Amino acid sequence: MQKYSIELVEEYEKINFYSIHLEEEELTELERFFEKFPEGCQYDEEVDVILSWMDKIAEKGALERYFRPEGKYGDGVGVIPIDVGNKLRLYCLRLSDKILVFGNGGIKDSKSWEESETLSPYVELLMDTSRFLSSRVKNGTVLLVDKEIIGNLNFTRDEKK
Amino acid sequence: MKRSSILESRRKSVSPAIRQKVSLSFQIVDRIHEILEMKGFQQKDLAVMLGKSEAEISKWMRGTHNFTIDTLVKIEEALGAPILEVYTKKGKEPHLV
Repeated sequence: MQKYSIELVEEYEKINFYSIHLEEEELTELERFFEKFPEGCQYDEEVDVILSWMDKIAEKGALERYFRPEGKYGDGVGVIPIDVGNKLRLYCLRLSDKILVFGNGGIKDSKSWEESETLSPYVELLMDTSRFLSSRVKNGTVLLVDKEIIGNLNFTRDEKK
Repeated sequence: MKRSSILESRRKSVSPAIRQKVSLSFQIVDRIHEILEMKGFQQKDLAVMLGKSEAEISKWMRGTHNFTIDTLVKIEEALGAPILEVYTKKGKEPHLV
């Protein structure tokens, strides 16, 4: 069983960045992603693009046209679009123009995330989270109010092997 | 407002050139989107005009694409509207799109 929560990582005027925080980890998944690729690593340029892109999203809002869908159709799961290098993948869940939930990511090591043992757990976690949140919004235990996710943000799922 | 110390620390070392490239790419795609909206077109219409797939146009429009002059000129021709203007010594303000 995997226990985790959704936690606010950064707040901006137009948008909040949340991230998944696994119970057993000290840092959120977004922060763990950046810790995996520290300054000076071979992916510096791609990390720079990711952060620059995130900063523009913080300024403009998470408009749907800026995102590259990656999960199942309509579930809101996407990958940060990088047009240089094309090796790093950071996944996120777009709930609205004002709310993003970041997961983790890594190095692209196969043609698709479905075929990657490293990347598929990250995408599947976000896809499950998307489903859980939809269900909770429907039953009223979670509300999306402006740039905030309010309500029960603790989750448990069966970790797929 | 709340910030992550880990992200803030890494932000300090982001290359200014990369930051500027991403910023310009966002300006360009926002301008293209503005023209499309003005003319009642969608991205798929632009794809047809340029003989490209919707997927390729969509890929361009996400804020990190490195547009060539060739591509920008083709888009300007297809949409019949300017996207970029070059700053000159004549004192004109750059046409910041």
